[in-house]
Amino acid sequence: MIQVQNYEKSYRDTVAVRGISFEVAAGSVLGVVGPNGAGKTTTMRALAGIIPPTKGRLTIAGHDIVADPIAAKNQLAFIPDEPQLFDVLTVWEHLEFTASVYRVDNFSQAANELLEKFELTDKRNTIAQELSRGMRQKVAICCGYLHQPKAIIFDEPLTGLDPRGIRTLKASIRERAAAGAAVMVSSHLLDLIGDLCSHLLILHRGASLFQGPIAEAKSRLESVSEDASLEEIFFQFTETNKHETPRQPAQ
Amino acid sequence: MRLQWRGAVRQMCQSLTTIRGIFFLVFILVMMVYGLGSLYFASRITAQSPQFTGAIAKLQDDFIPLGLLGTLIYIILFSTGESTVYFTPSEAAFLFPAPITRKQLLSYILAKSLGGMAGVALFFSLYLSPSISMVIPRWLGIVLILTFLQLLTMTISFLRHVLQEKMHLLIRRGCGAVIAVLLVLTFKQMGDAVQGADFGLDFEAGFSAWKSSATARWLLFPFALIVKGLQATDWATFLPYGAVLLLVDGVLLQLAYRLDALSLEAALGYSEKRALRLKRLQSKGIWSAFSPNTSAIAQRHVPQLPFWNGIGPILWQRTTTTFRSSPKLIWVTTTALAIAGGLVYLVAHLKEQSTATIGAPIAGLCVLGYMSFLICLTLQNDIEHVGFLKSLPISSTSIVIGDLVGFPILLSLVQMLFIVGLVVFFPTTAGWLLMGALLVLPINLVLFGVDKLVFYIYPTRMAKGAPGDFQNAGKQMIFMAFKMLILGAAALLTLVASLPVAFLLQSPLLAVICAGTVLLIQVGLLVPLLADAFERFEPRLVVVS
Repeated sequence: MIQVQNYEKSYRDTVAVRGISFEVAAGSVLGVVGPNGAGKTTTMRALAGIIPPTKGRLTIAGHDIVADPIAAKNQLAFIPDEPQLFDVLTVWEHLEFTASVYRVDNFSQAANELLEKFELTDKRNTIAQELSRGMRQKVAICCGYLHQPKAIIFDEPLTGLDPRGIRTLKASIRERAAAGAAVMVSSHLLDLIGDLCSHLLILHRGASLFQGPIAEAKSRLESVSEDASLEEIFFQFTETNKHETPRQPAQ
Repeated sequence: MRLQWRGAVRQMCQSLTTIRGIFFLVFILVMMVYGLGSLYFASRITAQSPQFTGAIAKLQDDFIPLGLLGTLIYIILFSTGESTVYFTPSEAAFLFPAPITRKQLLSYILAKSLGGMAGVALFFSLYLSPSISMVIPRWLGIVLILTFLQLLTMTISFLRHVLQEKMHLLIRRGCGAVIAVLLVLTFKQMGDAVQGADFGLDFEAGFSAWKSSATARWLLFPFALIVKGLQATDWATFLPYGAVLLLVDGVLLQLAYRLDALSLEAALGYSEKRALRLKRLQSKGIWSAFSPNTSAIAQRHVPQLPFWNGIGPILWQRTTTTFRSSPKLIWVTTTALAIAGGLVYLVAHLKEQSTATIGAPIAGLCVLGYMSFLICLTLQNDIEHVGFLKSLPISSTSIVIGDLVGFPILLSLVQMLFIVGLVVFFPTTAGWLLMGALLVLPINLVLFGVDKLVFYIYPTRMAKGAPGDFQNAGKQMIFMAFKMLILGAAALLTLVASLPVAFLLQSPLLAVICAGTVLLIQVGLLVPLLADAFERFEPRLVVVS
């Protein structure tokens, strides 16, 4: 559903992402981890069509994000780390706006269900400027879900959410994946990744160190035991490569 | 300060590695040399003519003391003075917990602002100097005056923190009452002296009479002395005045140091508040300053628009945001326009001349044009939503069209209302006014479009910098000049197309229609450029100047 082939992104002399390739199949949840500056957000923003790739091909549900951006974006929901709401629009108007952009007919019932699920019903007529950070995040998630996207990308989704909000979000991600959506989640919270994701992508200095099922990551490393935590796996991959810039993307 | 300067120099050196950076530096230098040079040569040329020199000296005698008195009254009555003790978030985070005395912190803030004042003083001193040898004393004099105003503002702010808020308000009101009484007294004395003479619109004669009243002379006396110091033709004359000013500044500085010890917490609180406001301005533009923050505004609805290939939702969002955010702005604009309109009406009727009756509505249209210019070229849209808009399944062309037309339509509606008002007051010129109305929307669209285009190509956000932040001012000046160049070309093209129509067909209406059409064609041509620039726009590259 989400395909990235040889993606590279450079800013003048700085190479942010170095030719990475990966795939997220329908129904699977890919966790993207890496130290700060690894290229996680850059990759996700390129997939969302916000920044153009310098090289490579990125497709959503078979549509190239550069060549056929509208078709690709129609199948996608991108929930960034900082929810970008319009200050003077109400919660309901955000859903209304999303429905009109993605051309969702009769959205009211689905929108009300989402508000109910994320405990926003009583905030329906509140403008975004008056919402807390966590509530803004919930509104962004509701808007993302409204058009039933086939691919969903979350960048640090838990920031600002309360415990109930976290539980609801996790459950909703599992539900969406079970319903056939391809989900990508970037986070520094390795517990979240371990709990939620079926696959793992480890990025470091713009290169991919590992991509595949989480169980495979353990077998890839000789020095870790079978019951090693994701944290151990992460440090094994990233610390080994701390002082070198990988030239070839790992498979 | 050394590290800050080093950072600024490093940033400048880094920017010189690109052609754009070199261009901007050269542009700044050229503008500075041009500005300073023209001021200096203007003063040289006028110095050679006794008539001009006398007139300029009279202007200085008349208006500098009045300006200084006005500033002083403003500071005493209205200034909170908080901005004079502003620390950036990084300064507050690093310096407040550091083993640095409050006195040192205050000295640091003063030293920083002194740099800005020195630059401002340079401009004035070049203009006010009768000869090159007197540039330095002039410059010193102006720096001392500006420092006096800065220290006075600061001291008043500290007093406010030291005194209870109620007591401060009481003192301020007391000062206001005294000032009001004194001003009334000046007018009474003036009335007694001129014995009911009617000056009509002769502002100069009226002002001279007012200035001659005993109280006004007394009020203006210290400032008149300052002007004498500034007009000194040699060092010997300047030095006593300079010494007195230095003494006054020294006393105020000592007072500020003593009072400041009691206002640390308030300064920190203000700095945090201001940092938040600045952050908001930087990411969302000046527009956000007008944004109210209660859900009550949600009652103002704009009906949903059809999809129109994606233009509809964007236009709806933009119009709703503008409609809900703008009441204050619309109120300010309408009031300004009403005052301007009232003035032109008054002038037209007092003079009772046909030229004035035609001139007044034309002046009204010019005010409208200026308002468009001011608003459209300073109200950029927020940066933070560009990424969001780019992630929507709507073509860039539709997004930029929806984004482009929302605000100009609302602004034009307000201006149309003003034109209707002018038509009521000046029915004889209704034809001209309505022809002007035809151009309101196309002009607003071109202005707004050009502003957006420049922003997308070089995304730098206007934000208030520290006092004397000339780098920021210079950068904004360049962008404004760049926009002016594009707008100048657009205006020239419009004139070239419409003037022949006016002369050949002898029809002003057809010429206006032609001009409007040319402007709309320019807007049409801007759309693909805007769409392309929007696609290339990467939020990561935004520079906050």
